[in-house]
Amino acid sequence: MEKNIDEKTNDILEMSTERLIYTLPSFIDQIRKNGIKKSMEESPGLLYRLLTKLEESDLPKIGADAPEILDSFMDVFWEGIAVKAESLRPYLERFGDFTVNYETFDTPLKAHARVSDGKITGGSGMVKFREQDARWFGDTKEVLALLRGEFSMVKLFTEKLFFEGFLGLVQKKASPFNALVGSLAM
Amino acid sequence: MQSKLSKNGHFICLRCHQKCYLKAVVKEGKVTEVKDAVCIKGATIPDLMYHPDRILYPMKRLGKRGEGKWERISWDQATSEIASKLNDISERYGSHTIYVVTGSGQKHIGWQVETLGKKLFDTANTHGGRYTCIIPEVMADFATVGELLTYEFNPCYKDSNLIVFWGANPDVGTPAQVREARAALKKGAKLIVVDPRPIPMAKKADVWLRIRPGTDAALGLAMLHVIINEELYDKDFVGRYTYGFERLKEHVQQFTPEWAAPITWLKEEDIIKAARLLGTVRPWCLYARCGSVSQQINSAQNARCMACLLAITGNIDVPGGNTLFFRTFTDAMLMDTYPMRPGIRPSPNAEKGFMGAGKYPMMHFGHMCDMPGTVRGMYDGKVRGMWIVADNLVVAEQDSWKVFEGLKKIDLVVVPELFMTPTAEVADYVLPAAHYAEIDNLVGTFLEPYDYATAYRKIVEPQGECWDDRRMIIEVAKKAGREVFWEDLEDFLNFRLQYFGMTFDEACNLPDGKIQLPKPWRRYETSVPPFQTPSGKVELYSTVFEAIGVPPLPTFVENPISPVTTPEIFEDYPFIYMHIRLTAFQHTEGRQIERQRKMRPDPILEINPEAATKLGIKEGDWVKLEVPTPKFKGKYIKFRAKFVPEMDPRLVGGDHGWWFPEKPAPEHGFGDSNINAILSLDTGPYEPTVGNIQCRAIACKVTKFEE
Repeated sequence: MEKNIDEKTNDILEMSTERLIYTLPSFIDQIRKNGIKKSMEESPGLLYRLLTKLEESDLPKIGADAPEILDSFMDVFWEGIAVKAESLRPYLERFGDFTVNYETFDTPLKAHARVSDGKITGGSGMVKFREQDARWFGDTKEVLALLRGEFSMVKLFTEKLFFEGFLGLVQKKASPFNALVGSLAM
Repeated sequence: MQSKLSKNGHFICLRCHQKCYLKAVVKEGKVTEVKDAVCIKGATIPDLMYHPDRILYPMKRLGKRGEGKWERISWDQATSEIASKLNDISERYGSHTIYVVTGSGQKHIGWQVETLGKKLFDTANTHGGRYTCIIPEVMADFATVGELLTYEFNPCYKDSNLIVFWGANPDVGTPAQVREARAALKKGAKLIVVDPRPIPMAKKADVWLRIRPGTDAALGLAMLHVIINEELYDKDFVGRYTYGFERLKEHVQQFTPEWAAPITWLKEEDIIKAARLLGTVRPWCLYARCGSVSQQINSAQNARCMACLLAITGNIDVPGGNTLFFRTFTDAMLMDTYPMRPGIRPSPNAEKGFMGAGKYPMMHFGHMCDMPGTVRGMYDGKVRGMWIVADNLVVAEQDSWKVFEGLKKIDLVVVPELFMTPTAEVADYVLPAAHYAEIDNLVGTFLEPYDYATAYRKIVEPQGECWDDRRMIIEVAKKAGREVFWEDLEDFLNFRLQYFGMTFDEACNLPDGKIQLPKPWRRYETSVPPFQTPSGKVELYSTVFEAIGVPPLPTFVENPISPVTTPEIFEDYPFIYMHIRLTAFQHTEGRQIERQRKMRPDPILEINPEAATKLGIKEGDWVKLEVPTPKFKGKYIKFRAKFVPEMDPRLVGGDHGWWFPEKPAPEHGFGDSNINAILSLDTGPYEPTVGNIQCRAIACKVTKFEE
């Protein structure tokens, strides 16, 4: 009998990068087949745990050997966040429209997210420069940490993390949005 | 291309930082007069615009670099050829080898071009003279409070009870803003001037601290010592909003006024008197400039001292204190060119090629590349293309001859300019730049205090075939097949207004074209976190500096060559040289404008009469100035001596930015009277946050010049 999402997540957390590269695509398929919403319910913290696992993995290797995994993961990640954000509609309506891109130095990971009409949407790939309010970029590890809500201003000064957009948005929207995503991922 | 013209003749003067709101009188399509100007630079705008030497057509170099042979070409040819060459450089060496270099000429236009250039040509390597200007101060302020604090548009003079000018000469540097300061003084505000020279404000000061150049941090630390030990600080603000107070308190115990007095050449009692004023009079505001927070190897730490003084006395973001510019005017930052610059970035790949990456980690934040490294890069192939806009790089940068020869080695040099300069003389293409009265623009106007931005249409059509600098780079990018994010200039201006929900055209149609901005004070009381720093507080102990290996508490570092560190050198080179900012000119500009030149026909060296007489120098004599740098042994620069009785006999002050349009090309005498010609970028030490060399407080020898 196939393991459920939560059990499989626990297995994944123990895997080497090589095995992760092999296993993650089928696990993402399983999440989709199971239904994004149901998967989130069955495995609390699923997205957060996967983010953490990826951060600990050999990201440049994943980027080189199986870059498509990063896209698949970003797609399912943002779909999961969208589901979890459904209960926050009033807050997100007050938060206002916001579109952010994420880009990395060491892997082909590119992603975007958008707050609009009280909803969060997002996925792999970036929206056009003129459509974005902000873009974060840095090593994949740093960008994944951002998505867990971990942010230090020091990194902006020390070439760990880069920000494109009007600086006031760091505090006004870009950083609070990441913190929100991080808490939703848990 | 004909387009909309201003209906009321209002425009913003971009000849200096003040951004005065002026009105042009136009007759038969020409600006004949400028009203409301507060200085010669504003009054002579028509002289500049219609000067016979103005560049009016695109030109391509014939013959060798600097040979002075030029061919007039069409814009189509110019943009096509430049685009092709930039593409070739990108393909062969990477886009990061293209440098977009901007200075402060045609102020702020260059900085917008820099923004456009980094995005359109995908390069992180942009440079403005600001690495020897505002950037050390910016880095210190950002590390301390998360935004700019001590610059000229931060002080709120109007409501201040005590004004501090520290290494800043507001009558020259900020001629419009200084009127607000004078009004406050007239109402009874007290005044502290920290300046070795007898600047006009010094004569009005309650305390004039005639400090030894380069020892500002020693003074700052001693004043912190007094204020903290006498418990004159704002305990509530310190308790709620600062980080690291106890560590600062412990740190400054060693820096007594007694310790600082001999270092700074100040009297102990004067240091104490000034400190007590800072501790007891509220609110107070401060304006610091290149005399203290730039051009020295301790610049950023000097600025840190000032930021800490403002913080512990509770004078941040209060009326009469120093405004948190970016925070208080959050909306302004959505459009102004200062925050725009760091706000637009190239691709991650281009960031990898950032000159100075790792070495000066904070530089990327201010988007200034490492200038000594850049000049070396001209020789070793790391710099392949340069787009130099509004910057007379050869004159404005240290090691002028090295820069001049280095430019000749680069594959492609493009210089949009108003006039031929020593920098333009060694270009491949010289492009005719429109004057700022000939362009559409959106300008944040940070007078006292900054509370509006102005949108205006061009006053008159550009002369000849002059183009807006921003249009040039957009059109070249289009020809190069780059992804052009802005269809045209209007689109770029609309982009800058996107968060205001209005178009540029709509902004121009507001009364006076002014967009009023909100002015809340003490924004930190309601913000979460209160300050945009890693700790969310004012960082008296800087976690950012700590992370990059720079002392996290304010420190004093003695100059590499000073009467203290190298007394033996001072036996032969007994003077300390400082720069003088001029009323007549903005940096290197304006020497060809007759009315300006009349105010300052020759470069001047201020010297104490007794010191000069001992050397056989009479007022008006030409004098030679030499420095002890081995590389420049036997080299000298020339000034006319001007006697200043109040000048400390150990100091001299020389004009900066001189070159002579009337002298033979290609040099135009850039090495004759410019201190940069005898300063070396080759040897450090370098300022640890931005990498500038010590380029003021220089040991020198002065002798009478004999033909």
